[in-house]
Amino acid sequence: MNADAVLSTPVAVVIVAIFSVFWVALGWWLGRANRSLEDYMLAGRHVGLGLATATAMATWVTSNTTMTAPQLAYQLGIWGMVGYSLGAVGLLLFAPLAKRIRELMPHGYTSGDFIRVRYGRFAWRVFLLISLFYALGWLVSLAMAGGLLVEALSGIPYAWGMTVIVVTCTLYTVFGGLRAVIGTDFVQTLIILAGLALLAGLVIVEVGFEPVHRQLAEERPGLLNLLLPASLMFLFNNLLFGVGEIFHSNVWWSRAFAFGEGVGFRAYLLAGLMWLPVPIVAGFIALAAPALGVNVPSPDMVAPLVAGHLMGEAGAILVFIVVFAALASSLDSLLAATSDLLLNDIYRGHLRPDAGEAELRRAAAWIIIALGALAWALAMPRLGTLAALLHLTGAFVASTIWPIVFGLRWGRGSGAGAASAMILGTVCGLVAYNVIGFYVAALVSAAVSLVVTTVTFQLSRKRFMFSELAATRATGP
Amino acid sequence: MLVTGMLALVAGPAQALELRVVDDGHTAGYVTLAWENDGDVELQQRDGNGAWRTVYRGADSATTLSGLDDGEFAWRARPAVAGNVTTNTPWGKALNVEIAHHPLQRALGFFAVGAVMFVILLACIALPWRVSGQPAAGGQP
Repeated sequence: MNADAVLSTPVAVVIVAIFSVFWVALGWWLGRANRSLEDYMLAGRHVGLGLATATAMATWVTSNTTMTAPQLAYQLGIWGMVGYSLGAVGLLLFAPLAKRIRELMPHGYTSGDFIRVRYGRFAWRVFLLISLFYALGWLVSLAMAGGLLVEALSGIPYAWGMTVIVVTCTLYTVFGGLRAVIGTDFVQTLIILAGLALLAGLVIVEVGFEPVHRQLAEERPGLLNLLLPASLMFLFNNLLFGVGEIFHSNVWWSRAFAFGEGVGFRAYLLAGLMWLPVPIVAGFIALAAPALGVNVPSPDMVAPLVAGHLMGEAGAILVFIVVFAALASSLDSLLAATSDLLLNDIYRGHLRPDAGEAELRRAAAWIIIALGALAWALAMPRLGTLAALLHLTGAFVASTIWPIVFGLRWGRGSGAGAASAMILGTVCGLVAYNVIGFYVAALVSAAVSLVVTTVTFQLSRKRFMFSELAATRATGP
Repeated sequence: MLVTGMLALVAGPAQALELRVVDDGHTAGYVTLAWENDGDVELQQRDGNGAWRTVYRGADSATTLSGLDDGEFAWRARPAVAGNVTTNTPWGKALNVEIAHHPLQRALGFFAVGAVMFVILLACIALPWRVSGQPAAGGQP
């Protein structure tokens, strides 16, 4: 599809090979310290501030940040770019929640643990369906992004690039568990930050703000329009989407459990502040496309195309490495956290309640492999664009915000109420996605869920004892 | 979305390029067009005054146009040799797309709903948390 590949195939193959071997070796090396299931799943529950901040930031800088944020800037203009950066609010607001979660559930393993104890088994199963659908959607979008990146920059077929990236991340996550994920995230954070800073600097020096603005004003004035209707609708939609993603996903809950005592609050706060400018930088690169005369065959490829056009092979290599790091840092986190959810809430919670630690340890590795294989199989047909796939999941995750926030704060509420809020919110969000557009799916879902949660909390006579959460592991699923 | 085809010129059917919409953002002001061709193509857009202008020439098989205002747009394409020299091959069918943004009132309504939820969320999180382990009776959402 793209005739603008700027990275020669041999160079791309060498980069992929070097980084793949490096990540797998690092994951294996870090994983040697694992002694127990808790080490494997939660890195021993004593991750320090530096690693904690790096892993939170790197996980949230996904290939979607580096590829979908520019896509939204290219399609929805200034507000698309700013709206995407509001995804940082999710990290910032999760900081106090992480503290609260760690205090309430010092022995917890997953977000599913909270929902099960707080709301009962039916709401737990609804939550698991939502969470697993989201995790799979995110996994597939990451795998697709890997394939698209490799193809856009080097011309290597989509299927090959996607396969190598999925296999690499699956391997080192299997070898090292969460400890490997967090360790590699630290290195990947350094690469991402250094690479983006360099890219942004080069774009400003080489193109400048004025020519970009002038070309947009002449050719695509709608992108500069601060009252562009779809962009206005998108702004809080994306904020709530990000909040829904972080508040419900086990990627963030497992880190709240894994971070040392008192670390979670500061780590999430710092990570949010560090993440905030990343989509702005990535979006600005996309807005430079018209000024540079770069054709954009598929909007999710706009950032690598612009960087490659602007900086030639060196720029293409830089983008390639940055996005590869961003991709790996999220894919590994998602594999680890989703396998934890499947292991703890499905395998142990539903299928094998009496499984011992050795069996669970083996099952964890097989679940990661199965997840990687499933993501690969679903990404292979290359259905839809990254944004379309990603925002479909917004209708699901935004419905979980209020049951989680209200459930952590107040003792009222019932399982039926929480389940209704999640189901009705999701259904209405999906209707909005299809009838109005992807940019309102999370917004509508969250609004419906808020109304249902508020009403059911008001009507509920039940009083939940938060002390029940402290004994989560003693009781077991 | 209103998509209609019209015959712009009398064309040889074997060489005519057909455009199609692969990403429809007609309510948000963007559209991705695609076509099938082995070599270079020239793509033109009809402006409001009825004049055609070239918006892409090259070997890609798709392009994304964004920042479009309300109105009816038309695009047409034909094969072209490399460089700036076009062949005499005829234009394919023009593809008409009506761009119709959401009404601003509706957009501001969604914006307001989002803003209200954000304020509620902030309040829920910023207020002091109940001490861990304390009975939760009497809580109000």
